[in-house]
Amino acid sequence: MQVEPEMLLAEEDVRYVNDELYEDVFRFYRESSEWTGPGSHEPEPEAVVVREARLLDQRNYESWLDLFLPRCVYWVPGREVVGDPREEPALHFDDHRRLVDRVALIRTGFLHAQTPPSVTCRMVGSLESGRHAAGTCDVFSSVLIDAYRGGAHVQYAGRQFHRIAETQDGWAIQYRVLLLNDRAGSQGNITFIL
Amino acid sequence: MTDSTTVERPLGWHLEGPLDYGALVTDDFRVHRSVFTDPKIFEDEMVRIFGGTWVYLLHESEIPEPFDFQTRRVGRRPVIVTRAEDGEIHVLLNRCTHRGTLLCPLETGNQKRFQCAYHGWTFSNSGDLTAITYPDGYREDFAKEAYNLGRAPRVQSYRGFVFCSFNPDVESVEAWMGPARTIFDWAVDRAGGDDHVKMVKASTMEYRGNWKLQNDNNGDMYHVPFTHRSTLTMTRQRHGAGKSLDHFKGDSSPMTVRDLGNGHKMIDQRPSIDSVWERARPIPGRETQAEQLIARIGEQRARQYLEYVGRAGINLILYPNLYVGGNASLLVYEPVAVNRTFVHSYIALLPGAPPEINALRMRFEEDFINIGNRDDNEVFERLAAALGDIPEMPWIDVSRGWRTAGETVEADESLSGRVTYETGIRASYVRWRELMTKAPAMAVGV
Repeated sequence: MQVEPEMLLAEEDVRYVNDELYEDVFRFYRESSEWTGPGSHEPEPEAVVVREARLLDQRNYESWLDLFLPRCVYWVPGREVVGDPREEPALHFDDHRRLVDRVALIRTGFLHAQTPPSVTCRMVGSLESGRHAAGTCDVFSSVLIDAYRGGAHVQYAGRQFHRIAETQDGWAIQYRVLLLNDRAGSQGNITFIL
Repeated sequence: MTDSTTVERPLGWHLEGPLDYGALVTDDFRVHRSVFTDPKIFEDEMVRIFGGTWVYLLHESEIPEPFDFQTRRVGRRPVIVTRAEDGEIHVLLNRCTHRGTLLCPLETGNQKRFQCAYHGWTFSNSGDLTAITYPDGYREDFAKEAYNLGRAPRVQSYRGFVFCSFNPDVESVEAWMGPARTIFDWAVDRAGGDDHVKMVKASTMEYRGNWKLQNDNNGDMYHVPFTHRSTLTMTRQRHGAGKSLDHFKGDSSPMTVRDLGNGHKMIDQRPSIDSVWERARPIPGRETQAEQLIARIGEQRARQYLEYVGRAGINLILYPNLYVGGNASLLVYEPVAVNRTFVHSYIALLPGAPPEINALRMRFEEDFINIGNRDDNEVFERLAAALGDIPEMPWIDVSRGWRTAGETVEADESLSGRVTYETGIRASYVRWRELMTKAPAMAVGV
């Protein structure tokens, strides 16, 4: 676009980038990066899915675990055509104990594969939902995960199915199934939680 | 012996002629960095190692029926492993003989014929060219039979495990295994024998590093307290002492590493593993499945079956590409490029075992892959990130334990070392040097 001479000459306020502004912007960044809720504009329980993505990106794994029911399953199949998980291994088929194991593994500080950590950004979209039964709701979505580490970006994309259950304290994840597009292909460093 | 401190390849050596591979592994067990980083050496490995000796392909249970097939790579060569109508197994080069197109793009299936997508040349599942599109276009003396699919000249199934070689003069699989055969047989017998497993693909790990790093690492216990510190720490914190790798106590343990000849090696963890099941880290369903099994078949029989959940205490590595963990669990190394490797893991369903045992076996297969192996892969990538970039420091060292009192010759002529020794790793580099310094007369059958 051609810049008109009068734009270059226009009076602008150039005197506001002062210490007060630096402090305010930096405070805004800190509060935003650590922000934990109350939640998105999506109605519950769809908001749980969006919240989960944010907590994982923040690597706030303890709060992420709090989203799950004590009797939960986190399943990432590893086959193009998914069969009975009792007869085929998955990339992950985790109960609550195994989810805590994986968070504890990261928190030891000795997980070389997350030293330094993967920096991730998730986009959750195409949210649809249907009531399943009394007190539960199934939420279907697409997710795109960009993970940056060691000079390289890796992308993961897939569909995810969440069964969200109503509890005394609100909605919680009972089942999460993540169906990666490349689930049957080779997987590199997936030690951050997908 | 070449003066190993001065061997750095001259610029443009690959234009001048073949490299002296004998000088890249020294007699005092240093290995030149180019062995892990040089694309030209990788190319030669794909011919001399992944063509010159036996390479593991698949288990027969993966192609049980006539016309079943699986596609694999032998080094970088794409192959189709088929079972013909008469039950015979063929290892066919997955390349149309007309213009060189990849003939079959699928991983697995059941087909009587393979038809090229380009001009329709059609081959039987035993590799014969059965149809040429518009054959009138070829001269009268055109020898159709010379255009059958290429094939590995040597294919042998040993106890259900299918190996192939592109070296027609290669010894038998039994002779190639040598003393490793006793261990291999022990592992097959323990997991129910030749016909009583259904091998299933688990997952594929990928790392940015050379294939030999995983091969070396599977014969290495020295790294455990450091590489796997996260695993050891988490497991003790969450599940107490005595689980998973907690039986490793340095060289004070009765475990050994062994050089089994022909590059084969093993870590024998069995002396320190009283119960595979009791030492397994808790996996999903551990308590419920075990209780259900005990209730149904009784404590004693259930206990016997539960010992099939977890690997059986051996790391047996058949050089170059097969790791046997016992209890019918395998890793297969697939070199992709000099700095890129796939590690395929397989676990067998044991059709003779109760369903609870197979369900637990599937969950156990996911355990170390997700808890432990990723730290190994990270170390391989860190190695690749430094080794290739410092020409002034060309050597790495694998001499730990060499010429010490801790190495002894066993009755079967294998060499045994203390468990942190690099005895087994040395076996692989001696074999590497042997295979790389002689170019076998390679052949492709048709």
